[in-house]
Amino acid sequence: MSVLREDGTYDESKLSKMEATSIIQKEQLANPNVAIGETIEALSEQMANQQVKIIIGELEKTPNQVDSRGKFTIETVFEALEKIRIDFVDGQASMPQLVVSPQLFASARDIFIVSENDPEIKKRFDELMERKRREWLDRESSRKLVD
Amino acid sequence: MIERVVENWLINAGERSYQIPFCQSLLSRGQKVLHSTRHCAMEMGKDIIAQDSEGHIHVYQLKSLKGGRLTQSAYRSDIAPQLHPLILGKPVHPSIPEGARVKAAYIVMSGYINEEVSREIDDLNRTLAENNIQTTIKTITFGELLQLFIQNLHRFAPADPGQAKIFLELFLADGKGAFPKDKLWRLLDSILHFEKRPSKTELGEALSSSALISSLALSNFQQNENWFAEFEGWSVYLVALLRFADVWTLSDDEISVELDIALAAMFGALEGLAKELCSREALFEGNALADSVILNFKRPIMLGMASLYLIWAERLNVLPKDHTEKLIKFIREQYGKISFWGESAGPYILANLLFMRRAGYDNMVGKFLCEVMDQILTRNGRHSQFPMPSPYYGFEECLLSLAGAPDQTIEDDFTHSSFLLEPILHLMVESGMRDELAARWALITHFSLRSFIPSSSYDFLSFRAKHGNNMTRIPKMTESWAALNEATSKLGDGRKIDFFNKHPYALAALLVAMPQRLDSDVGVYLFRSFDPPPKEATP
Repeated sequence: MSVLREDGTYDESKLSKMEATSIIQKEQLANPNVAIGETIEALSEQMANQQVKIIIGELEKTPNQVDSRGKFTIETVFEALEKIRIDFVDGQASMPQLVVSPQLFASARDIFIVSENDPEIKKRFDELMERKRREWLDRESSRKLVD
Repeated sequence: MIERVVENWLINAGERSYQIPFCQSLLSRGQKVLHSTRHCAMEMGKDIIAQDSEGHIHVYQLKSLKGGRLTQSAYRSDIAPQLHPLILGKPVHPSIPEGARVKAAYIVMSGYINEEVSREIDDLNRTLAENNIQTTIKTITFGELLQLFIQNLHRFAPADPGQAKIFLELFLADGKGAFPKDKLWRLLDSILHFEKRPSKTELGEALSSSALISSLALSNFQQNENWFAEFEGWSVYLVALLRFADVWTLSDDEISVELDIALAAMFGALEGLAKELCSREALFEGNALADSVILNFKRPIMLGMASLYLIWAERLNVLPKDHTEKLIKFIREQYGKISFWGESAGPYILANLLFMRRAGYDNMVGKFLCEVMDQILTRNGRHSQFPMPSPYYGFEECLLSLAGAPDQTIEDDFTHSSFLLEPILHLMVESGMRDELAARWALITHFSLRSFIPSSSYDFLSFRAKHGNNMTRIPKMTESWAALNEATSKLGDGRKIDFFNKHPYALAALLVAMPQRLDSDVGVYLFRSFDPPPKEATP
């Protein structure tokens, strides 16, 4: 599987093997779903880990990394948003999805709840979005066929 | 089991049904088939003309008796009048040397012959000998014909339960719906599979068996005059032959007769379809209200098949005047009224474009390319509720999903993704449609241009390729017309399969059976293979 991007970069990815084993005991034969469920769960986890690994691998090739040195703050979010491209659909920003580790989930959620009610942060966010909108308009106007 | 199936098939088979396996049986017995009729008005009393190893000509007239007996009255009214041209008609074919002698004329029948008929033929042979006519009349009756068919089949008959099940499902199909191409492919894949290079005998037996299995699989579809299914079935057979030749590096000459027979069967089905299209007053079938709903989706198939017939018949120089005019009128009236069910419609679209280009209808080519591109950009655009599925989803799957049939919904997301967009883009470049592309470029840049590039001709000729590159190309936001022209100019090697250089229409036909093989390279190759006529000759 390969991708040739608009900037001319080319990447090729290979298929990865994932495997999990279930041992179904004789007494489980009547209802093997539990054992099979465990296998499916193990495979799902492997697939999720593989996806994260691929994303991190791709990110390492770009300047789009933010190192928060183990501390997730609203500054980390702003820094990350500054570095990425945001598109607008029907006038609305198409915001990216934030994926965090299970350990960071609670603190990340709290930061967003607190930030929503902070007028300073809201003002910074609106300014950032306005800049992103202008960048998007510039980008859109570059979609053309020239000689 | 297989003998009973073949016997049952032969009892019910029409002449057309057993013609191809009979040709293959002659080949496996060392005869070279020079001509196999399409059952048109120009048969001239000879269905098959073959040449033996000593150069003698044998002519065959096939008769369907459906397991019955040939009575004297039937012989005199039906068969005897055809014997005269069999004996005296000079076989005309480019491969027949001038002055070649017809050694024997055969009446081949899927039934038995009464004793008095047999005596009448003996009398005729004596009269011929007394008049120094060296041709003899021979008969091949049901038992001999059955033996001929099954003698090669034993080794290759579907033996394991899985294969036998597939074979019976095909043989017992009602023949009214879509042809299950993948099932026939699996059978042929197994028959034509050898661990080491097959001997000449093995080669002949395998080819003969695969023709018979294909005929058996298609028998109910043939009886129902399901031309489209028949066309697809013989296309699968052709692809299997081509891949077999590719694996064992057989030259086209080594299996040229087999390939010709497959092509003739495909063209025969196309011709049947074209004639039916011309004879029908309405395009819908059954319930007009219900069928008219899906008529929009069926229209590209009818237009595509009519176009394919016209470009193929033109190459063979067999365009019948009345049908041609009707079909051209049909295409010109209908091409602006089409909707596509999915990207597996690509080969029909391409066939349409090839016809328009070949006929010199430049404006139609331009309008149609824009129409197709606009449908892709809209249907697979951001706001579409029903994006067109990829070419890996066939007509029926797409329609069932669109209709919301339970458990038939296609879950994949095709938004901003297309396998067909890039080939259409390159055809627009090839047609010099700079302004039309510029007007659409902003929308095109939102799409992922998908393609699957098979690793080898073996993979290209496989229904499910094992090796290849699943490629996604993101178009440049700012692109230059010069760069697009350069990219298009590098396309068009037609996968470097020689056979398609001689028979480009066969590649267009193969795509109908395997729409996932239509990519930019194949599209541009075919486009260039059907050049427009010189300007002054434009109709």
